[in-house]
Amino acid sequence: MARKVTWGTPGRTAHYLWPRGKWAFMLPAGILGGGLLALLLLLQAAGMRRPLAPGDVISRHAPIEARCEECHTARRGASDLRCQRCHDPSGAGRLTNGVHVLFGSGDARKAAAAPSLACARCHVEHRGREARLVAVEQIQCTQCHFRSFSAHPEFAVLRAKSAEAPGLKFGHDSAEPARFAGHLADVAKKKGMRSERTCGECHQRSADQRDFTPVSFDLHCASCHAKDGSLGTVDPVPQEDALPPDQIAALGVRAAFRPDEFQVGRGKVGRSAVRHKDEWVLFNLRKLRREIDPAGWAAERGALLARLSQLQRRLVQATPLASLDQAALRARQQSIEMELRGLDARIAAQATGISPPSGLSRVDEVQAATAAAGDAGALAEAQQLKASAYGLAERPGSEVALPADEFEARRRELLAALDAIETADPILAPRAQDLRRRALALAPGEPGGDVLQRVRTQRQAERQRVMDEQSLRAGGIAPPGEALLEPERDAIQRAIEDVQARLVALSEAPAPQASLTPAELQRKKETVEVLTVPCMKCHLFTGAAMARPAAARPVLVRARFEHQPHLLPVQGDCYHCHVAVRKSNVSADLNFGGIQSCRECHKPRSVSQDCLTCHRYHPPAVP
Amino acid sequence: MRFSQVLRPKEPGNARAAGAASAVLVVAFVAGAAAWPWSPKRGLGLAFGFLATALFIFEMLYPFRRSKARPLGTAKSWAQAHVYLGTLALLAVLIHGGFRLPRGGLGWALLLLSLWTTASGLIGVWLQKWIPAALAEGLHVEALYERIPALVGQLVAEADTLMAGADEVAERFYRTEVRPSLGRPNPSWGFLLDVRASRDRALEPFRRMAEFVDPAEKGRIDDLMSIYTEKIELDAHYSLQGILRRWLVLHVPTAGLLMGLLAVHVFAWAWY
Repeated sequence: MARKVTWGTPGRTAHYLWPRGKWAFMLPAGILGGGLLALLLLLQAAGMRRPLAPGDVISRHAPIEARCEECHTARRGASDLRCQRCHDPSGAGRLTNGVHVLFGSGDARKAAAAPSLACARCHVEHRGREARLVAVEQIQCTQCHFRSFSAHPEFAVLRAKSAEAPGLKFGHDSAEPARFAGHLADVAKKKGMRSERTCGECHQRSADQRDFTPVSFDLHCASCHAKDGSLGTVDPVPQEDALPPDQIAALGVRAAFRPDEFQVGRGKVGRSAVRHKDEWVLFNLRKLRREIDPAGWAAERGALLARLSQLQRRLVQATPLASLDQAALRARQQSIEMELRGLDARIAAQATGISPPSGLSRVDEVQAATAAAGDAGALAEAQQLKASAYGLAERPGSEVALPADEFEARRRELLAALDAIETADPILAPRAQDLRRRALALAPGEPGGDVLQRVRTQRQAERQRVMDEQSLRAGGIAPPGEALLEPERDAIQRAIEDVQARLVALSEAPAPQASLTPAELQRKKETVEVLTVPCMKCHLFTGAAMARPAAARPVLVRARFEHQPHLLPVQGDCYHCHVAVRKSNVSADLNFGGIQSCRECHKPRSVSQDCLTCHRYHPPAVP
Repeated sequence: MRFSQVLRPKEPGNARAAGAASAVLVVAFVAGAAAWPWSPKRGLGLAFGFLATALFIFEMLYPFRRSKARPLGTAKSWAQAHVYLGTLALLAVLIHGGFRLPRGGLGWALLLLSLWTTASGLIGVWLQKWIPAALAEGLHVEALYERIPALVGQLVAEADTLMAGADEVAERFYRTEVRPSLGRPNPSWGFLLDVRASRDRALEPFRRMAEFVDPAEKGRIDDLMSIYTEKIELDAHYSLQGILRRWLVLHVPTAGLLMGLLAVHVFAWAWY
């Protein structure tokens, strides 16, 4: 009989498996998840925060990795203030988007309206030790700028039809005999080389081989143009216009003159050999300029003084907050708050019409200061300025901004007036310096109220930094090292030295005793012409003022260009890009093909088209 | 059941809706990433982080489907939502990170746990579709998982009774070759791919023995073979139902870990 299979539910036995409970897996899951959460939070509380970090920070930040507060503010994320603590310790606000816009556009109003961008938006941390924080994604730039390199506008210097002013007359291959007729061809002929290779005679590689050193007269021109060291002679000129060497030495000017080169007699002085950067010629030119064009001289000196004052202020600020103790920090905060109260009062006064935004109140201030100084000349100048300003204010449509050139002219007048005030009464020097800074901070077309708001915003940012530093100290976060500040401080220091040297040179000239008669003025102008005969072969002059030579300086101010990587693809043929140099008649010619020549190589699937290949977002420490 | 049938969704409408939602998410990512710098901390990137978190929290409510299913539909609706929204949660996680690999330990742990939990859940979906169908189509015996050991015990008792009066050859065959493997359930992974796996090879000794024993004993050997066949089928049940219940070990605890890490991640984002 076959076995009958029986189905059904057997009774419970010792082998019975109990069904699984409803929470059989959820309970261990909850314990695991909750335990992990508790463990990580405990580690956080104990200061072991690395497990919580979304990734390693870069190696330079590794020493502060465990102290999140170095960069993060509780509940606010990575704070710009904490970045600036090390990276912009001078408090210049250089790393903000507003300054980027100002550097790029030169438009203060646009800069003030620029949205603020957090540092961490572009510089994304926690991407590993080897990550490059400076490597910013292209899309960050295209948020505000054009999206493709093909839409890149022509270079500003080319759009402006040669804005470069090298201060020299130099056409590479001019056909005009009055200039450098066939200069390249001449050099090639004399040196026995093909014209394509003559460029290297003057444009020599820099020490790092990345670019070229600036062209120098002594190195590149003197061998042909000053064989015996002399550039020419100066015919005798009146001694009251051009001082002889002994009188210059008597003024305390240190210079080594060779007496045998001078012909002094019958009230005149001549020179048999004029050298490059001849101290005698330059001194007398500065003297004559001060006599012929005192306003221009004062304006230049005023601008230099204002710049010096600005730089010195920045150098003082370049003392990082981190190096101040708590008392000094409190003092800094109080000082900023006082300044802010003053700014608020001025802004409120402008808003309520007590002081109209025309800036007339400032002119009144200048006049009052001049009167207090008791200098009749300066007072007359200030009164003239005031009359002119009130005349402008009363003119119909005076709320319309001044044209840029008129604005510059007014500014020069104001700077000259301030210079006169400062000379007349040294006690007023700090006030004059402050006014100079403000005058230079004004942008054409920008209402005074906007400037005040801009300054107020800067001061508020400074106060925030001071307060943040104090809170960090309270939290036990030690001040950072100063190493990052050094390059900035050096750059400011170099700029100060340059301005000081220019000021010393400018101030060497003795002050004119009295205003000139038309005949004296004419004679002095003639003297200038005689004195500058050897110079005018190459240099450009405006009256007695020699344009500051800046030969072969970079013309792309907002982009970085290095020749070295560009020479290889063209096999060292400079004419590949600088085609126009063959026809160049004037030094202001830029001689490069513009953006189109860049696109020959910078194109898709070829050489990089990223913005950061050429551009930098942050302006340099000393613009 | 064929493999293609396993892939066929139970509710095609839900599958289509999930596919459409995925496409929308991806399109939103592509458009967002082209228009703005993609960051998990801002804008759309952050929104996708919130979406993933919300979906994960919903996924963790799945155990409440039985008693609380009514407000949100049937238990089947819960299961469907659990599967499709879980998959969307993983997509949201990947988009949140901009389809880039994480840099830190926490990021990697979150990504791997998300991948593992989603993958183990999808494996569970496959098992739940494959195993019941395989058991129903390939086996004659039906048994509740919890009762299989008892049923096996009954089979042993029945076999012992059956072979009590057998001749020496049959009795030795039963004692040495059949009884040891009959005594307890023998689970095997092989049943997962074929529920009748190795059955012919296991029953071959019975067929050979039936040729050698006395004809009077042949019926006894056939009954023993029937008992053994039933035992093999119970083994298949035991194996497959065991897998069906235990795959959750791979899914639920890791989901718990994921929620713990997610809480830490949200805290770190909010605090720092």
